[in-house]
Amino acid sequence: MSREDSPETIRESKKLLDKDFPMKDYKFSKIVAFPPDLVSLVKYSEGSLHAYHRVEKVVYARSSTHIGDSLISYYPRGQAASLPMYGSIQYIYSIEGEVRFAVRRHKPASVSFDPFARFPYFPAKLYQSRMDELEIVGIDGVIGHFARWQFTDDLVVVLPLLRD
Amino acid sequence: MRPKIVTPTVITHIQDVIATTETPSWINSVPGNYGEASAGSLKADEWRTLGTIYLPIALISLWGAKPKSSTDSREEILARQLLTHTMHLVCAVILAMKNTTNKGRMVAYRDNIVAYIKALGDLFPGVDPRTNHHVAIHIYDFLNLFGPVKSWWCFPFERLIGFLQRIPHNHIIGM
Repeated sequence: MSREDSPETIRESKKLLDKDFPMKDYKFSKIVAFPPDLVSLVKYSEGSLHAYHRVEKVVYARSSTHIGDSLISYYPRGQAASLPMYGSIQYIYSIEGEVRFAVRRHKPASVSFDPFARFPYFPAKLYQSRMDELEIVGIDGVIGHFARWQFTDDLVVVLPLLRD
Repeated sequence: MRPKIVTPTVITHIQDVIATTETPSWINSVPGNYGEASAGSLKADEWRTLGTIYLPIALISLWGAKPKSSTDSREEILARQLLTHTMHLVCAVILAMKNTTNKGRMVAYRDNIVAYIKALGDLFPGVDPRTNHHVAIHIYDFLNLFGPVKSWWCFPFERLIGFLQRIPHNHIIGM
């Protein structure tokens, strides 16, 4: 099916099959040139880019594919001892089969009063709408998804959706 | 006369929060026209999504957006009381729905549900606690005895009933 000289019908069927049953082994994904901002982050000029990545039935997507599925809480540099960060996946890339996310995180808000902080069992918090530079997040560092709502022009409400 | 707090503006704000909150695809949607008759009655999962995500965001941003002050109007004081009351129920639901439980969470669940029921009569004169309110306190005992709600709730049976109801049949038992 992957042969270039195969009939048109077979090649079209492959496209449909690939959509239905995406390849799990990213070693065989198409190699493309990385966009400039990703190149300066990962120091590789090419690799594979993916629209989404599934981890134990949970789908993580890049923001251009599905904004809600791109919102992740994660430990920076995979350190579980640090506080979770909240960001949006900009790119899902793989180099030699290893998948990683390129994420922009929300900066902490410097507000004198956070109305959401009053309720310890409702874990919502205010963050700046403005996002930081791209950073690399490994799959192991991802905690889960969060919901986001624009509170003011400068602030967003971040609500972790863990049912741990 | 008591000021009216839950006005059409509040409902519009809740609808706006439902429409504009960004959520992952595994969070099921709720009717965008919540509060209108045409939205119909909500199912249990829709109530949970509404009550643990959209409603708290909407109400806190509306009724709790500014700190307490001695110059607050009667409406603002009542709105803050209503917010605290609603949040007791929201927090109780969040605590009960956790995939794991422990003594701290069980006690926090009981404290929140009891605080919610106790304040019902003060905030809504003429409203007495119902049997379901009493039963909700016993969830604390069941959490203690059987563990997280997810391992003993009846939704799998409800799904089975739905499945059985949809099987084609000829209305004759045993045929």
